[in-house]
Amino acid sequence: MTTLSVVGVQINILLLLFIGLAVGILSGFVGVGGGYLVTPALIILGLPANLAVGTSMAWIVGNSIVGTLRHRQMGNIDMKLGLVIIAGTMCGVELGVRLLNWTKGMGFTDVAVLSTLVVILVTIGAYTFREVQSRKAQLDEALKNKDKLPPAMRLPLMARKLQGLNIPPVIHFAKSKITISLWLILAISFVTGILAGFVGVGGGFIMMPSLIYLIGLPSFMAVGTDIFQIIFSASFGCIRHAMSGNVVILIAFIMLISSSIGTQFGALITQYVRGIAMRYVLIVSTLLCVLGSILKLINLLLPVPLPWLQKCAVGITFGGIALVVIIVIALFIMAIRYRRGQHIPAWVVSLVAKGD
Amino acid sequence: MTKRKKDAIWVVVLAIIACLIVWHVAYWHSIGMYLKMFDWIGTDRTYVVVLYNLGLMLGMGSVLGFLMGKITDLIGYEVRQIKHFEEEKTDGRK
Repeated sequence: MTTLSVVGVQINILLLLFIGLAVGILSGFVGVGGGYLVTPALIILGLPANLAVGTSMAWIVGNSIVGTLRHRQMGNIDMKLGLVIIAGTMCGVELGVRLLNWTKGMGFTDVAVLSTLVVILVTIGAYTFREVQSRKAQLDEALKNKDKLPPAMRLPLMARKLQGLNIPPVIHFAKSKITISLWLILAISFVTGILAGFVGVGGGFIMMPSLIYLIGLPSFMAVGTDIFQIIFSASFGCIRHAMSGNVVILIAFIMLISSSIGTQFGALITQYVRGIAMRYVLIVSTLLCVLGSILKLINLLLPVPLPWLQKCAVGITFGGIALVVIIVIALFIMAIRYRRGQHIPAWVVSLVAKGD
Repeated sequence: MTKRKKDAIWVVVLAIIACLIVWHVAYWHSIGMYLKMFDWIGTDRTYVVVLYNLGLMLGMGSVLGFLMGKITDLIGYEVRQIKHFEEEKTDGRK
C-alpha cells in the first residue's frame, strides 16, 4: 500500500513524502533548488541514476514555482534582475554542459566535476563563513548596547567595487535598489551558469553567494530571485531529460505534494529571522554538499571503491537533510519565543528578527 | 460575499483541480500508459512526452502554489513584506 513500483523498483511513498517535505523547507528558506539532496536520495531509494537526475529536475520545476509564488508575496523577488540573470545563466549552462561533454571525451569526467565542485564550494563556504562571523560579532556588539542601532548591512566589498564600474548600459533595479552595469550581471550569471552546467548539481550554492556578495542583493531577496530563476534553468534541464525518457512523473508528483508544504514553511520562516541566519544555514548546507562530494571523490580515486565510504556518503546525505531541517525549525521556535518576550540563548538573539 | 468565503471557494476549487491532476497521473501510471509514452522517445512524438512532463509540473506547481496561498489567507495568517533594507537593525532588546 505504501510502496510504489517504478521500473521494477519498489519505492516507499512515505520516504518520498519525507524527502519532499524536508528538502522543501530547505529550498524555501535558503533558495537552493535541492537537486543535490534529492538526486542522491532517489538513487539510494533504488532509482537508476539517470531517472533520479531527470525526476529531481522535474520536481525542482514544480517546487520552484511554489516557492516563487510565496516569495513574490513577501516582496523577495526582483523580477527584472531575475530575467537578466536567466539570460546569462542559460548561455553559461549550455557552455558548461559542452565542457562536461568535452571532459567525457577525455575520460576524466567524474574526477574533474567533483574536484571543481569541491574547490568552488570550499572557497565560497570559507568566504561566506568569514563574512557571517564578522557580521554576527558586529550585531552581538550592538545588541549589548541597548540604545545604539548598528548600521544597516553594508554592501559587500566586491559588490561595491563591481557597482562602481561604469560600463554602459548601466541599469537601475528599483526593487533591489542596485545600479550596476548590465554586462557585469550577464558576466557573473554566465560564469555561474558555466559552473552550474559543468558540475550538474549545486547550482544554487554558487548562485546564492554570487547574488549576495557580487551583485549586492539583500539575503532574502537573493533567495526569492534565485528560486525564480531556477524555474527556467530547471525547465531547460527537464526538457533535456524528458527527451531522453529520464523523468518518472509520479515520483516527482509525490515529492511535490509534500515539498509544497515544506517550501511554504521555509519561505515563511524568512519573516522571523535575519539574513545572517539564512547565510549560516547556507554554510551548513554547503559544508554537507562538500563532505558528500569529497567522500565520492576519494572513492573514485581509490583503485577499489570502499563500500563503507559509500555508506558514509549516504549517511551524510540523509543526516544532512535532517540536520538542516532541525536547525531551521529551531531558529523558528527561537524567533517565536523572542517575539513573545521569552528567554532565548544570547548567541541566537542576533539571528532572529524582531516583530513589528 | 465575504473575503473569507471567497478564499474558501478558491481553496475547494484549487484542491479539486490538484486532486484531479494527481488522480490522472496515478491512473496513467497504474494502467501503464506512462510507460507507453517512453516508447515515443526518439520518434516524431518526443515533443508530446516533453510537453506532458513539463506541462504537468508547471501546472501542478502553479495550482499548489496558489492553493497554499489561499489556505494561508483562509486561516488568517498575515504574510508581510520583508523590509530588506532594515533587516540587520536591532530593536534595542537584550
